[in-house]
Amino acid sequence: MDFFTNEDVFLRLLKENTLAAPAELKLSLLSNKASTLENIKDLLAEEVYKNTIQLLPHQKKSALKVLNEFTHRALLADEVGLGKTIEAGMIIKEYLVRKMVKKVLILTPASLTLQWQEELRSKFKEDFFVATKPEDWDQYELIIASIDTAKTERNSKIICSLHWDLLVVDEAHKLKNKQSLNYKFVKKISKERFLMLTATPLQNNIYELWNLIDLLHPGFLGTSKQFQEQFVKDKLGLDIAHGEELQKKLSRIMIRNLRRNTNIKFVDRRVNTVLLDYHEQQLKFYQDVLSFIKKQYVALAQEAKKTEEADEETISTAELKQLASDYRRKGLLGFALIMLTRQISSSFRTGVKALERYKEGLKDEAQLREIDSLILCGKQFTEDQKLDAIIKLIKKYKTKVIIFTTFLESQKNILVELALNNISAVSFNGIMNLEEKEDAIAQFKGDKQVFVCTDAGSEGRNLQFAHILINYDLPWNPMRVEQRIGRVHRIGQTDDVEIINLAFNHTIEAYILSRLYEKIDLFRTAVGEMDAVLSELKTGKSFEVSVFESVIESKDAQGLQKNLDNISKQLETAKKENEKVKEFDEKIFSTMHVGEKNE
Amino acid sequence: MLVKKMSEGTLQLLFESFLEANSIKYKLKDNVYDVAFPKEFGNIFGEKVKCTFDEQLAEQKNLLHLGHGSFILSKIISMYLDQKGIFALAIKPKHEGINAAQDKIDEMRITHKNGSAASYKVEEHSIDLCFASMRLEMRSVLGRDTFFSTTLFHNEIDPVFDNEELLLIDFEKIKNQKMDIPHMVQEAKELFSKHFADQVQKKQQQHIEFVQKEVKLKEEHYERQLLEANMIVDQARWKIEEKRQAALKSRSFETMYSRAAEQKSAEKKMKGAEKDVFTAKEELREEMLAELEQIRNMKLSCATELLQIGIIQVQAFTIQYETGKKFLYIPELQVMQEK
Repeated sequence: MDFFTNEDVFLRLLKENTLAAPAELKLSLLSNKASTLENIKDLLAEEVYKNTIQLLPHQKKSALKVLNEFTHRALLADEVGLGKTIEAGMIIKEYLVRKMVKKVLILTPASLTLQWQEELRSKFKEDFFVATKPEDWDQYELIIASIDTAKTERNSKIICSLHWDLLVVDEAHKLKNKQSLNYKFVKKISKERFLMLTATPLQNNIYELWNLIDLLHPGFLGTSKQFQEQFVKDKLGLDIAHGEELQKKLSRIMIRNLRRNTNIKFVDRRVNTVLLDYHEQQLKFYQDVLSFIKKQYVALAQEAKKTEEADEETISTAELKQLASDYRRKGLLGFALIMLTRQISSSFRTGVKALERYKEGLKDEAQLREIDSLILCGKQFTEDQKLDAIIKLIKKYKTKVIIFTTFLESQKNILVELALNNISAVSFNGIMNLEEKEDAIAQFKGDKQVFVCTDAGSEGRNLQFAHILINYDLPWNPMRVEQRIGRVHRIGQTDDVEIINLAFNHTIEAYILSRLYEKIDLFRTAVGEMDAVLSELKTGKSFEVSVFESVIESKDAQGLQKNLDNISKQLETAKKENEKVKEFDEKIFSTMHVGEKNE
Repeated sequence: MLVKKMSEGTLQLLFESFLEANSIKYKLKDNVYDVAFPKEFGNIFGEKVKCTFDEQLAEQKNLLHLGHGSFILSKIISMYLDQKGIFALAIKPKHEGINAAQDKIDEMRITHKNGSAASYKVEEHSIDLCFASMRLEMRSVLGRDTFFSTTLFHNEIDPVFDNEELLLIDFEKIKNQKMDIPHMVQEAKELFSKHFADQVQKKQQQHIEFVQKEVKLKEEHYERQLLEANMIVDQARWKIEEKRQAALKSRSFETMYSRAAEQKSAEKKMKGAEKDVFTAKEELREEMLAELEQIRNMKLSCATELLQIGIIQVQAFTIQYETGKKFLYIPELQVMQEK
């Protein structure tokens, strides 16, 4: 036992003749008495987040259950959209406030690291560091990392040599395979407390649940053979035996809240697509830019192929280095071309600025001449039908409106147009600091009518006090669309959400809308589900790249529609697969109750 | 009980003591505090605050609720929680001490063996009690526990722990009081060590039991898994034996050759299974060692800290009976001890 007598402090006070006043003694006694009364019936940290989060009864109960009853291991398996991350945040914050943990590691899929960081910062006032390098793990106490980055040899060695007071793994269903590197890596991490999050603890069979629980708390459900003998009815693991007993066991380690048990009212969504028309010259310009992009991409692809085929033995190291650097540059240029395609679809002004930037990397005279003529042509269009449509819509709705755009340049244009029309607006984007962001939200909550927001700035922010959302341009990834909707269509929204998509006829965006998003009913899918659907897609490339390749590989509009139809078919199949998973989950968990019921 | 449960009333006492100690103006009407915080606190709590300890009332009237974990109380607690101090105080008597002593004597009814009341002599005097407060904090995977205790000690009395009266008493400062700090610290340390011993031991026991339970669970789990892995090889062996027996019992050479070939194939499969099982067992062993190491890393830490130390001057009465019994009574602290 460490015994701190503070003798030197008392001697110094005596020497200085600093005697405490009677009230000081009394307040010290009362404060210390009061501090011993704190128990986990009360969430000490609630004061920190109660104004930023609309806390739901099931979330508070779940957090308290984990803190009080689960000692050191828990699986949070709420259905999609019930706020698992919030529950985890509450638990983490409470552990930190009570000084029960110091060193915390949160492992998430790469796409969610920044979202976690932002949520913990804005809602729980905790600064987590997104770690990537070997020196980060020891240097910082509160860390978020992509599981793929963390498990690389150079990082995992250090992570596994440290002892973590708390390990949190998000999207834990990705660890259902015992043989996977992810599973083995997480198993090796030395942790005192362990929290796993997933909306789908079961996907294909009941053994997956055993795998997850056995990773969380080895031995808790016995060996796989014991589990099979006791709780699995059939060999394939599709049906459970002794459900009640399994429920009893699971309720000591797992929480699964279901939407139907929470009494939360989920509002409807209305989707409205406003299809606009380019006039003839505009359409020609748009098509010319696309054909320029296609030519650029084909040339790049050919060069890249040459680089790949270069015979390593016949060229010098210097040449190899040059080739590698070219390859990287081309990768970037490929990305720039995707962005350019999206920018020209967002607005001509944004597109022209992007063309000017792209021009800086060109050397070929013919290409320079072509891009110069495109820039010149693009600059003559001062009319922007999307902006006119926005003004009409805002005047029609006379209420708070959120406008999403992907690009800062488009954001600027929208803000200028709103100002010219005397419409009060506030901007919000990823380059603003935390204080500026908070201020922008406060202004929008206050008297500003319009919130003009980029995707980069929107993650983790709750804007449910507004219910009209206009997509000025359309992300090429359904996840992004879902994230936009998720800002307003969330718990606490009282009005039906209205989504208005703006697009021009005969453009990529219009085709994406009609051929992809409408077919998979994206705008009506529950927030949180798209990630599960996309994880069923096993294309090995990002969604944006798939769409871009469809654009490049198509000769005409019909070809593009056909290519997009192919992606749509894959998405539909993935959605069906996800439905099957949900049905299986429902079948198993409908017989068990391991969540919190609201009175 | 080591730490007496404090009622909501005492949280209220903390709040009111804070307001009074800092000369903050407030009105209390129908359980609602209407507080005007001066600038130094207004920046933290807001300048005009209406609050109550009644949760329902707070909700109904949209007032700030004062309770465990509420912002204002948490802030107040954090302001004074770690404050170290020395003091020399005297208790302001609330009433006539001699009357209280008389009441105590009536209550005790000390008699002779024959039942007649024993006569007594009361002597009033003042004694300087030493005071110390200490916090014990224990952390383990099972949670974090904080205990707080106070003691009053003097060579003429048995030490008194956690005297609740101290929270209600009005003190006044005394001047030129001599204090032997090292001696007081040493004595307080010894007293608290004994006082907290049970609590620490209980927590240690819980922690050890938890660790043992975890270790047992893991060891059994991995042993069972190793057994199950061995069973794969055993099953392969039984299959070989089955084929061998079938070959021996064959009635034709053709069947015998066919069974023998099956036996050979089963032997080959077994070799593969043996290799797989060997690897699996190695992995399981490694996993078990890692798990046990993790459990060993689950530490229990205990730390105590002396927070306040000083002298409290009190009015005391020595009651000497003709039977030989002798008592010391301190009315303000409700302390009565036989000498």
